[in-house]
Amino acid sequence: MKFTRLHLLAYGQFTNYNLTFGDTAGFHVIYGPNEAGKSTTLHALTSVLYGYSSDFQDDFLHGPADVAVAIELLNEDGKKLSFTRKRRGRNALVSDTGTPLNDDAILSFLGGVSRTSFTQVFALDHQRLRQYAHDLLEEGGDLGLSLAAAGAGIAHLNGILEKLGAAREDIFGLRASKRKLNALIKELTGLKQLRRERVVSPKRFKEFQQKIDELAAELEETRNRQKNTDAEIRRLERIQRNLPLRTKYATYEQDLKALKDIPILPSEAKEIRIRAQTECRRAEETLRSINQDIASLKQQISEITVDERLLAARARIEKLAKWRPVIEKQQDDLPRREAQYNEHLKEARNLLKRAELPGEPENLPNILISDVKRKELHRLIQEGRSLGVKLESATQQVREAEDSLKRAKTRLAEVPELQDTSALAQVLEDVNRLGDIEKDIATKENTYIRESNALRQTIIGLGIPSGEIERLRTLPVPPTETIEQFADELKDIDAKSRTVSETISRIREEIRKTDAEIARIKIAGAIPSEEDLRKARENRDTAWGLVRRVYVERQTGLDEAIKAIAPDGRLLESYEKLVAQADQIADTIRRHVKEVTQMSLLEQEKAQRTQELQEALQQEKDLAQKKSDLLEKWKALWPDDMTVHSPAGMREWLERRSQALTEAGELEALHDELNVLRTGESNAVEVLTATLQAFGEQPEGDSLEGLRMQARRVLQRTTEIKEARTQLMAEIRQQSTNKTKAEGLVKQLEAQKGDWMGKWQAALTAAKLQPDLSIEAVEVILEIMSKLDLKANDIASVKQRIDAMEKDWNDFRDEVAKLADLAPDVSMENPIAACREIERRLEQAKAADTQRTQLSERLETQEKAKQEEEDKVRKNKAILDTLCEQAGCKDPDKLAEIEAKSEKKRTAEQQCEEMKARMLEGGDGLDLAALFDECDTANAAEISDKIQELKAESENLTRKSNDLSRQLGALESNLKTLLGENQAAESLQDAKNIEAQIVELVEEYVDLTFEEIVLRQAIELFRQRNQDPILALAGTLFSELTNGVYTGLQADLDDNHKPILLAQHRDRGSLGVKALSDGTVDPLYLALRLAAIEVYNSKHEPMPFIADDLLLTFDDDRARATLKILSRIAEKGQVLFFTHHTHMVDLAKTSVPTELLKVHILAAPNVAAAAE
Amino acid sequence: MRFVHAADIHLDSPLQNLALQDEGQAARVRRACRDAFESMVRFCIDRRGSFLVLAGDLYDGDNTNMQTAYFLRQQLARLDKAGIRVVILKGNHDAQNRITGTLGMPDNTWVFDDKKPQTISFDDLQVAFHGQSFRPGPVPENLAARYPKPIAGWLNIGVLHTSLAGSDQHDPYAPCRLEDLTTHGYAYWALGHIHKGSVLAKAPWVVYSGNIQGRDIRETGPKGCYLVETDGDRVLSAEHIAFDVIRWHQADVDLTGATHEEDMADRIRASLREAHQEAGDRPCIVRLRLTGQTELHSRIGAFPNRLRDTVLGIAADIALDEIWLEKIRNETQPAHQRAKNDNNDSTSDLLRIIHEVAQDVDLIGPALKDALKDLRMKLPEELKQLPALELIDNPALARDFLMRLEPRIAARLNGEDVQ
Repeated sequence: MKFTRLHLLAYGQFTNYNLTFGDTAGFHVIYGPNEAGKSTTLHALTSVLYGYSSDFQDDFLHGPADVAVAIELLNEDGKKLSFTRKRRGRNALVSDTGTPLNDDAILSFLGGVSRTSFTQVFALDHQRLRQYAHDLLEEGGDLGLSLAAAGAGIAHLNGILEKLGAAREDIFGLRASKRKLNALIKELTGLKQLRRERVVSPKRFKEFQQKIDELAAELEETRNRQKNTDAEIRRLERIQRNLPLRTKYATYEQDLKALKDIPILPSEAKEIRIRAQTECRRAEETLRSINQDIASLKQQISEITVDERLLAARARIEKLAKWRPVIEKQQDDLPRREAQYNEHLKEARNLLKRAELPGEPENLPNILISDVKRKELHRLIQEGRSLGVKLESATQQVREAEDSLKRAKTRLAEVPELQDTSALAQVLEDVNRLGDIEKDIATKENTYIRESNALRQTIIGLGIPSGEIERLRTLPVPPTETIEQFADELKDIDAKSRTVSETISRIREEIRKTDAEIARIKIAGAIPSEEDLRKARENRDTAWGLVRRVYVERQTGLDEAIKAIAPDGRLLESYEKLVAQADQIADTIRRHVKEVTQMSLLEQEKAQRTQELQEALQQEKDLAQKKSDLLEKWKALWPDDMTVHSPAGMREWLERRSQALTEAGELEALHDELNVLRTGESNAVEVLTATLQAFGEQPEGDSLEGLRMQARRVLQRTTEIKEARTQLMAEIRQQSTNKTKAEGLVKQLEAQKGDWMGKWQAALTAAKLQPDLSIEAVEVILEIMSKLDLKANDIASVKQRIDAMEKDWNDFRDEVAKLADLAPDVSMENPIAACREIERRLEQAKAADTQRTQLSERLETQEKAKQEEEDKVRKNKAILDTLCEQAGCKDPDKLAEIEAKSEKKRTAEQQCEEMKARMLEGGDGLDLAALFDECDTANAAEISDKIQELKAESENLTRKSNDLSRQLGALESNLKTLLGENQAAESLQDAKNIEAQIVELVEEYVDLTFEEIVLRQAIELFRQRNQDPILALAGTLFSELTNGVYTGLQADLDDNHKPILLAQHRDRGSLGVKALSDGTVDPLYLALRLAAIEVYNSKHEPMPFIADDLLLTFDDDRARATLKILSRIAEKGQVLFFTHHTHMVDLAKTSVPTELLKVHILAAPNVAAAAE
Repeated sequence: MRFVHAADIHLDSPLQNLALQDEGQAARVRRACRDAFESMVRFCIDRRGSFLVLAGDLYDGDNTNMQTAYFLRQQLARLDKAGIRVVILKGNHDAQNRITGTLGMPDNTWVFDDKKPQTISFDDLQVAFHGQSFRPGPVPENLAARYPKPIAGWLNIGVLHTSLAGSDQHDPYAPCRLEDLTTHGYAYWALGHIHKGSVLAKAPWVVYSGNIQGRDIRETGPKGCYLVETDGDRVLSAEHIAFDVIRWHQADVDLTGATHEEDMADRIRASLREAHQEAGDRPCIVRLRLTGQTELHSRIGAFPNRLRDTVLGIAADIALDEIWLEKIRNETQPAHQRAKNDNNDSTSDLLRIIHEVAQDVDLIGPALKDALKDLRMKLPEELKQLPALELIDNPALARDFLMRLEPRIAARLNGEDVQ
């Protein structure tokens, strides 16, 4: 099948792009630089044939729905199929007539080759080639794997098998306990055991139950015995307890009989009687004391007198008494206040005098100026002062401006005139542009000299003694390719030599081992060899022949011969001896047949090894000769006068030479640069000298830098003069302006001063002051007036205080006088003394009144107490009367005796009742008669011992029954626990879970095993079927690809009888894949792959082969060889050869027959394919 | 009056084929049967039922563990305390088991005789239970035929452990025809032995209660008992009440036409959601069966672990830890069969040779036997005959294996990491 046309309708960066392959030519080189869409085209091919993969990434220009690729296919029978594939689920395939197609139509055209086969077998790029070759090496030449890998295009076959094996081992191993399955099986066994242990079987349950029943019966019997014993103990203890009670009871019964007639008084009778008698006595005593107090109180009250009139005026007197101390204090203060008043008047008068103001201090408010007027005067004072200061300042400014103007004019006259320097400045600027040209020249000169010397040394070092660069440049040297070729050949020889040398060492070691083994066997016993036997038999037969000739045939003239056999002439003896000797050797060999066989084998082996050694040594010699010849040729390539090193050395020499030539070129450029710089420098000196002279300066020397400095100085000087003149002119202008301004200001201020004077005089007049007063005088007057303001306040305040005191005094005196009739004997001359006396008399009256009130209250209290005590006496006497009546007597004094007897009778009765109650209480339900009877009939002396005896027995029984009860409880609890658990069923469930896990793992293990086995068998079958056709063809291709270094491929068995692949080397014989170099394995894999394809194509509809930059790592020879092989494939089938190297296109043009070749250039998108 | 009819309790019988590695799940499974039974007892008490009728197979026949009997007695004692009477008929499993008789039953419990049909009657309620327990060994005769005549005016209930006629999946036990029962004159037939609950007739009522907890994937759907309401000698209704604590569910997902994994995931999600809803508030053990023609066929076959992870992820999304996966069965078919290729000697396709190898019994048989013999030797006796190991004795099965494993092998050959 061939592709005749690929039409990228909308795919990747392509829109409506056609690649026409045609029906005839079979070898299509499709060239496209990077990004031209080479990979996209490859993807498109697979996609149109097999559908767009789900990880499709080529739809960056077209939306998924628009993607479409069309193709035309042609098969061997000349049938064509043309269709378009779109990117959609249904009806993705459409024929040219627009009818839907199904995938099978294409697949049958493809001969059933699946997508995987198509991409893995019929397409190859250099990366995959390298990878597959690497795998081939890894697989160590396993033939089945190699063939399957190449033929089926499947990489990592060995890796797949190893993974399967590892996955199986992870699950299970026969003797591995930690693998998943092994661990689970172990766990399952454990769980089953656990379940068996946990199950409570009916038998086990019955055993338990029986034990429980036995224990329960024994326990019941023990408990019954204990019950009886305990009952007897209780009875005896009861008697023991009741006996003393019974005795006491009899005694009290006796007492009761004796007190039969005595009444039983209430138990509290005695207490009541004593309390009544005591309270009666105490009340009578208290009554006596109260009566005495009442008489005394009445006497005291009658003796007290009180002034009732004073008490009636009590409020008025107490008011005056409070006022009196205030008046006394005012009277003390008055003289001091009057002296203060006079002092203030005197001070005011002095102040008036100081201010030269007319009038008296008492009239101060009329003399003082109002606040408004004083404020106006202060304002005018301030204004007048300010005007004065300003006027003085302005006059000063006028004077200073006049002085400055004069000084500036003098300095301007001293500064020189200006000159024009523009020409000089221009020249200097031009020269400056050259930079530090002198330093540049010096640096470059140094570099030039240094590098010239270094280069010369390099050239001498490269084997040119004259050190001339010209000689080096013209020296005849071989091209790089030739050197590389020699290098490769030498490397090849060296590699071979190493291999041969290793082989020699190995063989020698083997011979040494064989010798050692032979020696070992020989040491074990001198064993004749087969050779010895052969010689002995030969001798024997020779002797027999002689015997025969002498004695049977009767020949003569055999003396020489006889002598040779039997020097003593005794032929028969000698013959017999030889027969015996041969037999002995044969016997010995038979006895030691094993050793002999081994010996024989060892000797054969040694001979073989020795032969191999000879061959290897010869090879080594040949290689040495070959190397020597090659080196001769190598030396001949170079000039005679040169020291020639190895190709690697000369490769380095060539690099160094090339570097030296580059350096020489750089040095010449440096020299040219130096010349340009020097010319620039001399021109600059010339121009600068001329200009300085034109400016009137004498040039100082001819150094460029000196002249530059001189020119700069001239320019600097001119600039300074210009700046000074400008500054002075500005100063003169400024000072003239200042003077005019200051004069104007003076005039203005003088006018303002005139106005102020008018206002000042008017204000003074209004304040009734002299109009001619100065500012300072008015300031003094105003200050004194401030002090007078204060003084006027003080005078008014003191005067007011004195007036108030006088009024108080008069009022007080009048009030005291009104009390005169309450104390007619007291003088009212001094109201304060009079007031004091009346106050004292009032206090006396108040004290007497209080005392009288207190005595009356006490009298009343005592009267009440007297009443209460009389009641008590009456009440207690009534109680005593009642008690006498109860006791049956009339005299309360007899009561005590009757009470004592009554108490005794009551106690006896109570004791009798208590004894009975106590006996019944501890009587275990028996009635009193039974209890009395029990006590009356008991033998008291034996009871205690009997109880001890029974208690000991009871304790024993308790212990036993506790013990039994504990055992029974434990047993029952055990059974209950055993039954109550669910562990057996849980273990069973757990075991089922583990079983299920085991089943899953077994399934997985079987699956993996199945996979591994079918894969291994398939690989083996594949090998058996394909070994012959593929291997033979691959051998030829391999030979072509290696330029005959290898002559073919061969199948063999390794030590484990596994088929392996061997490569036939022209000189080194059969080599395993592992012995091949990396560079040889690539063509080996390629040979296998191409052979597989050729074999396939010969039997089936041929499939196109797609090579994608396949030969990237091949040299030209090998690439040509490959292209030729591909041409053969293209004769029947079709080859699409994608590349992005023009070099490959060129190689194809020289290697592929013209009639087969067609070159396509993948151009920018949207341009129709250009065919060459 | 109301009573509860249950059967096939199979106390302490383990749940099968659950490769549970999560301890939480394992713990829930351990007590599943007991929990279901306890729930049913609680239900009888809460609903004040007058009777609990157990129509056979309280235990597995091979269960000789008295712990199980003790548990049963404890539960019956609970009913006794609540005044609920229990009528037990021994099924084929119980007949051969001695654990009940050994322990004895509480006073509220009556067990049918196994020698002849018996009527257990309760005068206070005017209820009569008729039945005959199984004796050890097969019971091929129709026991129901000899059951006593109904007591007129009373509520008559027949209790029978039977496979009926024609019930498959179970051995024939006390076979009879449905007609034998419906014409006997009883108001209700409480049947046991068949694990799937169903009402066979309503006039009179003939009911299989089914078992109370499913034990493997064959026992899917709700499991429990029937609550029977009566009035005098008539049965008014019989309602199925579920007590299973874990529900088995077979989820069939048809992937016909599914082209993307998301599509597959959506369909699986819908199916699992349905299973979860059906299970209510109990965990649900699901067997997922994928069917239909789909382009995903080979992806599913090639990456079983990835599929399993996807399904587990979906299950966790729907109900964390409430949907458990028993197994995934891939029964899908390729979307369309490729044209058969007759190039059997093709050198280009190793898979074709693999097919050939799988069909060559002489070639593959010994190799498989050799590779698997150690495994079989190491396995416990009861697991030596696992279906997966049949391949050893019957290499012809290799074709089935290949059919199933081909996608995985193809993916491996394609360089994909299938683990």
